[in-house]
Amino acid sequence: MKTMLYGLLAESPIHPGAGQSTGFVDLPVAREAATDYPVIVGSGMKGALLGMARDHDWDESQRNDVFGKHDNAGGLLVSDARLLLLPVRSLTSSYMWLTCPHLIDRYDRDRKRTLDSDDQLQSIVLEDVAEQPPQYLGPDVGELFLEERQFARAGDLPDGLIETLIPLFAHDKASARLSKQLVVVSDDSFTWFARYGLPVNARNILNEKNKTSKNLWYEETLPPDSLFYCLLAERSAGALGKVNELFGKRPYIQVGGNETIGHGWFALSAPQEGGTQ
Amino acid sequence: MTNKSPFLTRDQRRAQHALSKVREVPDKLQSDYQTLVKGFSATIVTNGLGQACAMLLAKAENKDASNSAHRRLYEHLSDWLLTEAKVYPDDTKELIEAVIGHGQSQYIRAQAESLAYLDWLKKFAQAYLSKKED
Repeated sequence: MKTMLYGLLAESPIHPGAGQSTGFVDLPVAREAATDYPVIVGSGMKGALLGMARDHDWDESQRNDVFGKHDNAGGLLVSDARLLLLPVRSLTSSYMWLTCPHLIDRYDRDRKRTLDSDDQLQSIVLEDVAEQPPQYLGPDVGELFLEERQFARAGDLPDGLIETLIPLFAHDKASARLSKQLVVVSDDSFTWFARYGLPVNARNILNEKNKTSKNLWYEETLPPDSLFYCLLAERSAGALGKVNELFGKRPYIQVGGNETIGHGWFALSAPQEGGTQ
Repeated sequence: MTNKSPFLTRDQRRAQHALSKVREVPDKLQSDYQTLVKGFSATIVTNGLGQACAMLLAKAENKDASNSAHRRLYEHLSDWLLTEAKVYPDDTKELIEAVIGHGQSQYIRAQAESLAYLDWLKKFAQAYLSKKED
């Protein structure tokens, strides 16, 4: 089965909605149930791709072949878009790209599943990053302050980590900043940032006459420069080629809510290919 | 007042505490309290628990809880975190001192506990308190 792995770099805030919640924001982003990591589920990614196909004037039979309809499955398989790097504000510097051993391990496993030529796959060996007191691996900035939390340096980034991430970036200038801004923290610390470290925006509807608030609500977004990846595979030959044609024209995709206020834009990296034709 | 039966989940205890506190809010503060509670979780997440608590104290301007919705919310939160959830050592009297005076792991627990508690406070305030008509 032919597969492709795309990197998705957020160019704008992303709001993969999860409906209303009673939680600390009214409109949270979708999260994985077991880990609380933000996620864009496969159906949302597939919907975004179908939207692109419509915009590019695919006729109905073409769309049915690739995306399916009620009574037949399509030729394309679309995975969840999984989070890999989360931008977090830092007190003493520009933002840092945060990741953790669990996410790196999961990315390793996803690559093994999809890109089956062994020489591309260098598993990342991670040193321990302590939770108590909190530590980080990354460039030497002394004590690192992220949001309100403080981390002591435990060592360098693992060998090969930056090299495996570079292909996921659509922009060379952005990936060139990895060596200065990439930081690995413990799984528990990362979960805290994934839960509470996302931007929360207050939005409002004003009463037209007296400009008082009619409705105030809080919604959560993923910040620009968040890095996700997504796997596409094909059940029937040719489906991936067609999708690549879409991206070839313009390597951007709009996913999730708030499209009319500019949210949801990802830049796609050139795909890493695997599988047999 | 709060039922400490071991068969209650922690979330049920939060709910009981929140409900009893919301019912104590006097008429004249109800509308202010409701608006304040609605946005307070977002304040904690964007500014941090310490800053959020300090903001409550600043807006309360030394008033007591019968004259200030901000002071009242501060005391509700304080009572939950210090007396019921026992996030901090027993002898801690003042919430703001507890929040700024203990380590990161307690800070994180107190934040998570505050947000979970505020979910209930927010819902009960919407359900039981009257809003000012405009």
